[in-house]
Amino acid sequence: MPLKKEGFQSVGEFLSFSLSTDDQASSDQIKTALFFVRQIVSVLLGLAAGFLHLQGILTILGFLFLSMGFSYYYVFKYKQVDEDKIENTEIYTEGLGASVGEFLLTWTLIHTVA
Amino acid sequence: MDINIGETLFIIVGAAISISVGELVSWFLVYRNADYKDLVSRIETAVTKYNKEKEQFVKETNAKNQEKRLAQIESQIKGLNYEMTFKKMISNAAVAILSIVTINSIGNYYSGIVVAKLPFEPFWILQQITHRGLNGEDLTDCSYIFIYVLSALIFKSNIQKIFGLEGPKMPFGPGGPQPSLFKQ
Repeated sequence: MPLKKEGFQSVGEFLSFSLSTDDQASSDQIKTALFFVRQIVSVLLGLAAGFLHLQGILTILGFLFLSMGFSYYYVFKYKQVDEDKIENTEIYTEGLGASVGEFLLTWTLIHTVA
Repeated sequence: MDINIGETLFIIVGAAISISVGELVSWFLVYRNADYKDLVSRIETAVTKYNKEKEQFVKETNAKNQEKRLAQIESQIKGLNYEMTFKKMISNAAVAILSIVTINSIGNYYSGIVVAKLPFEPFWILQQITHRGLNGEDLTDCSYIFIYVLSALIFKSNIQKIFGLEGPKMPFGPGGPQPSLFKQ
């Protein structure tokens, strides 16, 4: 289980790590936390875009901007990780495919139903 | 146009099951084997060594012996990567066949049926996926395959992350390290 491989003993420990501001974590732990937190944010943004009846490519661009902005904020501001510890490209690309997929899917489903 | 959201959700569930079975097959054929785990361990060791040597190389200039060591480790990583690709070939083929069977099975039922309405008009490459098999000129009509592809992408990423099936991360792409590393 990757949770154990990257130092987490349980899902509970992983959740408390994601919400904590521990800056002593390894870059792998930070990237794993970012991967899942980013997806939750993508689903919420998809729901918001759907219920607000947002349409068009600009919404997708807006999502990408917000997603990357959130990644930067979560790693460097919220978790206060040193900028030398992890590269910007790594935090912007971690979980990008899954988060874009979730945003599009959630947005499409809500738009279809609403 | 009435769209049955239950059918859309069925496609998502179908993708989840298909991807889960595919990853299970990959785990059974490849990931659980001791030689694969040993190979992953060797790649991770080589990558760690490469990153350390690269840090030293950047700090020191005109370090010809270090350049040579980096080239040796890079060659080692490429060789191990090739070995891993070869090991995964059978499981990749099995997963591809499973995906094709699933998509065709779903396609037989959903062909020509609009399963969702897109909130954007896709550009021409994406239209080949979103509007596949549909009649009509409304490009916001979505066919089953786009929903399947999105769902498969989501479930595959998550299953691989949760169960540690991603494989080791390479310090450079398939073509090798950045050329500027050796121009100093």
